[in-house]
Amino acid sequence: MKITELLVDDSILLGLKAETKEDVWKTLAHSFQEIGAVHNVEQYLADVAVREAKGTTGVGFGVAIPHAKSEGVTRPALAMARLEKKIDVQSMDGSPADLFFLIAAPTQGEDIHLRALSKLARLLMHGSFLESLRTAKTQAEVKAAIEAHES
Amino acid sequence: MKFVAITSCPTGIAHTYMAAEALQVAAKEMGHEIKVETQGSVGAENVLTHEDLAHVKAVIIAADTSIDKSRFAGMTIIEVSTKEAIKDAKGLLTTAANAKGGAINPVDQTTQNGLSRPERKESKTGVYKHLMTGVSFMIPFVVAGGLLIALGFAVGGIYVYNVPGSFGETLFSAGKAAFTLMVPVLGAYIAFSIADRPGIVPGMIGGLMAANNGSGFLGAMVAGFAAGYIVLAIKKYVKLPKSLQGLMPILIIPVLSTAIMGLLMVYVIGKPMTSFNTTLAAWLTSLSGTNAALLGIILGAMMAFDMGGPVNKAAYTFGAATVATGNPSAIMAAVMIAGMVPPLAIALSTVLTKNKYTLEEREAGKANWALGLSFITEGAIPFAAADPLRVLPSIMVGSAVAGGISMAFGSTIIVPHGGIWVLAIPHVVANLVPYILALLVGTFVSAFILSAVKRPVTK
Repeated sequence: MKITELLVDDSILLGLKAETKEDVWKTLAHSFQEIGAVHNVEQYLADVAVREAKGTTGVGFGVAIPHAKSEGVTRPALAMARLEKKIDVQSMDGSPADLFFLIAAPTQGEDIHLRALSKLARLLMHGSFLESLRTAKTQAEVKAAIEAHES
Repeated sequence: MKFVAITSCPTGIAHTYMAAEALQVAAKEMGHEIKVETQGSVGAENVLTHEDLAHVKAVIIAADTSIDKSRFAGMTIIEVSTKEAIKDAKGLLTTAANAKGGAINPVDQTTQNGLSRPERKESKTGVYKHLMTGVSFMIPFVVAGGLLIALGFAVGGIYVYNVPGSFGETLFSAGKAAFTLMVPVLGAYIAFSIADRPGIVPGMIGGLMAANNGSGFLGAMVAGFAAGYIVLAIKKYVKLPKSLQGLMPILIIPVLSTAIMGLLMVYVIGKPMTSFNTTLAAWLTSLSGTNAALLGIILGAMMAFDMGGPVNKAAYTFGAATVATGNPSAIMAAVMIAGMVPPLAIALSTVLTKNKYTLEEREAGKANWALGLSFITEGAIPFAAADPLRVLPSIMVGSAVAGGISMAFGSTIIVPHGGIWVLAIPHVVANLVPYILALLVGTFVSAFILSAVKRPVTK
């Protein structure tokens, strides 16, 4: 499974305005609900918060990857937001984040999406990948950048 | 340089893979070789094989979950959280590259393509790994046995073993049984580490024969290694027709390896050991008239030399014989105080320099306080077996000092054992103050030497 199969255009938000990381989670989770990937947003957001409490998902380099396996999730999905202004995410290196990847994983079912997510996690460690996400002008360019690096 | 790593995080979705990627990217940039096993939510991927572990400079574990480290026994392990690997993978690799222990020397980096150096290094870490496997299986036996024996004495007095069936004697017997098994277990699991399951039979039997023929834990170490390599050799050189190959594991290997082991233990190790023992005993008797302090020093060093082996036995038997008549004995006093030093010195050293002992050793170190005070020298065996060349000389010096002081001040004792607990009984020990001084000085001397010469454990 390719990363882009989990990431639909409606879940890529470029130039999002947000004050807190919770705002970002809420907005992106809402997009999950719209595409039918999450049926219980409250439950899902609660699980994301639980995961976050175990240790920050602000992984540095301006990237945050909030995620959860949750009963509220119907099918695996990925959402991305690029913020207009960086916000504090208590990241590991202290830097504020402008790139958010919200990950929704169901508690049951096939693990095939996990491989795609693990690939994404690996891509995040490459500066050139992050650079292309930051300069992408459209949702299509974001997906193109992901596909280019994925192969 | 070559590294292996394991990454793992609680959800197993993101950090596991980010840490893995960070390490791989950093290794590539720095010109190192690395294989990273990811233990994520899809299970373990890119699993490290036995071959991957050869010639590895260090194992990096970047995990927020608990990782089974048993397959890395004896290797240099660096443990951090996934965060640290993601944040500063290069720094982590630099730390790993500079880690001590089981290491390729910096000069070897340039000659890494030459086969001889890395190969030699592998066999070296191999020996250490086999020893550590044996020792880690032996430690619980030593601790259980030592503490039960001490408890038996505490409950039933120092002649507890003369009252069969009493509560104290029962504890004592259980402890003795553990001590009977600990030496065979050392041999068995050294052999197990070398040759897997088929090694256990000849290793354990060889170890028991070593215990019985008086060669003690050093004999069991030899037996363990011999058993392991005997089994490997049988597997390699004994070729059977296909129809009979089913007989190898259940008949050929156990019978043949045990027969070779038995012959080895009796003719190569046992016989010389017996005559060596006799010679030592005669030599000690001939020393009786010499300078008291010198005799104390010699006896002390002998007590610590092999802890239950032929040298220790010769010294102890020599001492015990002098109290058999019921007279106060300076020789027995020196022997006992010297035998208390090794466990106490090790216990003190594990506190002084925590970084030089594994967690398991530090825990065993705590038990050694009680064992040393009870004159149960065996508590020191796992430490000596793990690192004989550093530990044995260190504890010999302190034991020699203790024995020497005790003899020089003419301290005497009327019982052959009991440790610190008999000192409180009136008239058992004469010249008590220098006697305690001997114990303290000997313990401190050994502990300081040990802490100075031991190498730090790199995690």
